[in-house]
Amino acid sequence: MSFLFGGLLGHPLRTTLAVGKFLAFTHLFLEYGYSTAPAVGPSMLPTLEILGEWLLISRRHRHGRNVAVGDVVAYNIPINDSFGVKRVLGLPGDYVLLNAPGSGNDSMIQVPQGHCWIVGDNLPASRDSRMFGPIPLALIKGKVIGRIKPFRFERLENPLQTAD
Amino acid sequence: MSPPVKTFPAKDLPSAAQVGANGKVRRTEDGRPIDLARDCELRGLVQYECLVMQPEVAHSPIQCWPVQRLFRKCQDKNGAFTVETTAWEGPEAATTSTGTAGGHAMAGVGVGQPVQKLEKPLQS
Repeated sequence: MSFLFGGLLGHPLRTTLAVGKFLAFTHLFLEYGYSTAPAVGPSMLPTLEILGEWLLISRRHRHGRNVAVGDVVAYNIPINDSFGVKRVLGLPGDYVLLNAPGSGNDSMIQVPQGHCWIVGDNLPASRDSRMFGPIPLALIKGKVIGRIKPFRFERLENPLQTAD
Repeated sequence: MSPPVKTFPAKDLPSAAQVGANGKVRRTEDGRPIDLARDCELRGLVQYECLVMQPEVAHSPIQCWPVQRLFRKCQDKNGAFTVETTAWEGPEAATTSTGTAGGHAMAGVGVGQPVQKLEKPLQS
């Protein structure tokens, strides 16, 4: 207590500055470093469960920086004011199927510049680029690094492997 | 909103892959056109069709069936790009009218059959 009254609270200006620095650093870290967020819904089954997922997101990959095909990203959904989690299947200049494999339609598109193509892992239950088209890279908030579980961390690896 | 994008059938992939998103013709390091089968490494990624068996029940069993997607990782003078070749060289391509010789080549690689529901689910 003597530390509080004699140290911090005794110097209101110093305390205000310390709190301001702490808040600024926290904001910097969460905005440009790493952040966490819950994820709910069936669109990324079986990679992510419907409920109870808490994700670690690298904001260093915001706006699609260094994102690769196969990565899972958090993004601002272009048709409403919320964020979603999907897998990137195409980056600018890449070629992707317009619909899911096996849909009977083999139409393809080239992803336009500044955009990416995102699709949920659970194809029948996902609203993604198949519905609203390629999304601007600027809507990508970050790359999902892994799942935070009680007392452990599960890293999400990029599954795009050599087919052999 | 994204700009208007032209669609093309999967059989036109070899010719469509010759032009970048900026409209410039793609060339390999030694100046050749891109040959998907020769210049690009084949890769695979699995997505799923999942069914929540009892949606009204919490912690319901979930069954998932794999959907194999195929990609080719290519390199031109300006860098790497990815081409999804599921409908061009996957097992389905060999059985459809838009199938190509690539479909037969793919069968030899043995990636498996896409969009085929397994008798045993992956997860329950």
